[in-house]
Amino acid sequence: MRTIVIIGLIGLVVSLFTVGSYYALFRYRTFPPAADQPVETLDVPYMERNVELNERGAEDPVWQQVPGKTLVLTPQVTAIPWGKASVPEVTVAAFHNGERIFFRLHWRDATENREVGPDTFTDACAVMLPLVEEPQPNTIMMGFLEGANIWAWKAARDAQVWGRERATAPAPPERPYTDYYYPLEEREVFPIARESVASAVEDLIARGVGTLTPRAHQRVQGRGFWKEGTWTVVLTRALATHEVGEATLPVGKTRAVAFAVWDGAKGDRGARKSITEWVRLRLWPIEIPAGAAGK
Amino acid sequence: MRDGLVLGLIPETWRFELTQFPWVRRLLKSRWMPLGLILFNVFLFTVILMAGFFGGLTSPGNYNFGIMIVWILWWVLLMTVLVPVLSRFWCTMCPLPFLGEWLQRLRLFGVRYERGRNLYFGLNKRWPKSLSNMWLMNILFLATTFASGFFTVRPAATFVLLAAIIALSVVLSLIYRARTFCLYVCPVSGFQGLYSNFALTEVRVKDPEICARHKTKGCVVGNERGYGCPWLLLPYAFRRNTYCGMCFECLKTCEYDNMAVNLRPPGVDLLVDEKRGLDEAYKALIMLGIAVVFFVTFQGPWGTLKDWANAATLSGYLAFIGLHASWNLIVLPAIFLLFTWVARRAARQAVPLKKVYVNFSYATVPLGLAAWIAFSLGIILPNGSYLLHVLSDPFAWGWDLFGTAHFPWTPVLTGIMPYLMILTLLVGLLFSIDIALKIARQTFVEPEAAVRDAFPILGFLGATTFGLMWLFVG
Amino acid sequence: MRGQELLAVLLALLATVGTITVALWYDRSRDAGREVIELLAIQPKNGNWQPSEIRLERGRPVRLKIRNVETVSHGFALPDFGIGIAEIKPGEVHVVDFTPDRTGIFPFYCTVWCSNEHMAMAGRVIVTESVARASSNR
Repeated sequence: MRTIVIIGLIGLVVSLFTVGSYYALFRYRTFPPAADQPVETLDVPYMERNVELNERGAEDPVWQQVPGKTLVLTPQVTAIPWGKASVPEVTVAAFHNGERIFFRLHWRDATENREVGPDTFTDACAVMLPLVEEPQPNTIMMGFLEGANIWAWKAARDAQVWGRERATAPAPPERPYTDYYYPLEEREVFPIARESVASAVEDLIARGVGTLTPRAHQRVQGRGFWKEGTWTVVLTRALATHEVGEATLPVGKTRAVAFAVWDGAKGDRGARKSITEWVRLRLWPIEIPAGAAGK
Repeated sequence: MRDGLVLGLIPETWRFELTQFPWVRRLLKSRWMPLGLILFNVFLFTVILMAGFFGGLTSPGNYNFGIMIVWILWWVLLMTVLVPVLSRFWCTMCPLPFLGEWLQRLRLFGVRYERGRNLYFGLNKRWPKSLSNMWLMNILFLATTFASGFFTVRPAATFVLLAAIIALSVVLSLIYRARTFCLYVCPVSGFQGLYSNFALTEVRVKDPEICARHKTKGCVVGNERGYGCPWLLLPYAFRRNTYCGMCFECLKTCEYDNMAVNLRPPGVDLLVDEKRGLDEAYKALIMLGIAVVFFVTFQGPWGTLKDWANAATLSGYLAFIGLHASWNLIVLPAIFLLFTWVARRAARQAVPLKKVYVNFSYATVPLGLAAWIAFSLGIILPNGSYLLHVLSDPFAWGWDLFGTAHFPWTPVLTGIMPYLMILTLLVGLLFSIDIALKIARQTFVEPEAAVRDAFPILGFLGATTFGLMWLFVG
Repeated sequence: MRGQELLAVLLALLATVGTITVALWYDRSRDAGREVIELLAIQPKNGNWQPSEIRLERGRPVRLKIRNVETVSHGFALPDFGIGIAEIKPGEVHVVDFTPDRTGIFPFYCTVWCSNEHMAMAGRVIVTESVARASSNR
């Protein structure tokens, strides 16, 4: 009798141990790895075209001919302050003509915010090109570590530069310009932008979060139009580079690019923005027409 | 150094009886001692097991109560205080065999005693003679260290280890008599036994004359006040701490109050030439070897080795096991064999090589202990502050019992840590040299030539010390 | 003797069964009246947030226990409800209480550069009017 009880007890202990260990070991199973996130590619075909920085240019038929891409945006939540609201997506198209590159960014925004002031923020968008051709994938904020060239278009600057030309709206009244972000929050890392109204697009360099610096030579042009709840912004720069801080755009090669969008009405400014992941920017080679090749 | 004096300072026979104080004696004779301590540790280990059980396989260790208490606090306490000072005092209060012993005795507090013997539930079999040594513990401890890379990072691994020890202790307690599990199986029992020979405390007979005249020997067979020695010793006669679990039963059973707990000078049991064996020699070398491996792997600058030990890849892990096992079982014992062989040649005496080997292995014990103390400093000083975190949130459920759940990581004294480590090693070396010289005099016939005979062993000890120092500083 | 034996058994039970019961009861009482969801922070290549979709009911208080089960730091941001934890260290658990006050789909993200795939470490909170709960990981 005692032997049976003992055998039973041993069986009980061994099974308790087995069940307990199994539960402890496999409570947090190793989850199946998520499928590799595909890296989007944005094709930049060669087109023997030039678009003007005006409303016609923004709606130019060339934009229908180039393969655009709709990219997912997520709020920036790596550096403080984090993005709060989010613009869900931005559609980007681009081409080059052997001399210049043109980007067109297109996103939904219910309100047109072209003014900055206390607690008023401007809509904006930016193109970021790392200063190395192949940065680590997905390293949006960290990509700064190797340095990046950023083309920042702001609706407020746009109004200053292009305002007089605009027929639909009068030029904004003359008053002190405040391009720094307000209210300045604790831990918020911003430069106070240097005044420069030569272009609606500011040509910036950065190396790490909080080091945004305007370049000495501003070479990027751009203009934005808001119509029926949608922003359309065209940015352009010569392909050739003059200085180290300028991103190279090697024709026939692929390099990285990322985009960001700010919705001023929802309080976006500075690091409070929506961003894409790295996108592969494939610049097509200059096609020599078949007839010319034979000569 | 003169015979009979530890480090030439304290007589080896010097003792200070702690049980001369009535309150100490009363305490140790109470059946609540060590039961009270065990019950507290049962509570503590229940929390530890829960933390391991809920901690999962992948949670990092620094925020897990089980890992922090077992591997940071307990292991360090064991190596720095419990073993070197208090001998097997951990075995006194160890909660792991609690269930097994309860089942054996069917009593927690009381004593079952009828017709001249204690009553036990269980089959009460004798452990095989061939396994009544340290070999099984040597292998099990070495095998446990194969998984050392997991225990500190995977709470579930610690849970499985502790649960396995508890389950095995219950099973063996039901089949074999008394503390067979603790004596011959428990992985941490072996080194505690060997290193306890160095300890500052002991349980011993006061006056052997009384025992010689006393026939009933309650300390062996038990009586209504307590159980016969659960560690299967003859309390009236044993001379080394190795297998004394300090359960204090003999203090309770002795009718003449002839058992005592003494303070004594360190290391004296290492000189007792009684039941020495190759199993203990291997234990001494394995402990030294594992200390080296742990240093190189977990505190050294070689990240690859750590990745191997943590099983980042299967081949790397197998390489770690292979290197670890062959170093401890073959390479280090072989190196030591070389030194003992030279020592025997130098002594030009017809002493069996095995005897020379076994005897001198005890000289490595103080150094091995020092290496482990140094290793422990490398654990507790940088990581001790995590303890505050796990006390407030033991199960990582987001609790904050004492407001210290988010206490930041604060290393303590890490600036002077290398010097503390070196000092510890030097003290260990000093004791090892002292023991080596005395063992040379014991082993060889010409006591005058002891220094010459021990020279190769001193060389081994010195080289090991400097090797370890290089590991700490470099 | 008999009384002390009983006391010892009682203490043994308190130390084991009692400890477990009190711990579980205390943990439960802390969460009283709230829906509790355990969210595991895991980098994308190891499986991403678990669960990656959290279904909630509008107006019902919820408690997220965000546990980092990895050896790298993570963070948590649920921008639409203004919830953010700058850093959750390896092994740490952070508790977030909130009551979803509107319906919709709201993404949440990791906020610490945890790996090359950090940007993909995202999940979503789906708030509906009535209960159509799929999983509440507990």
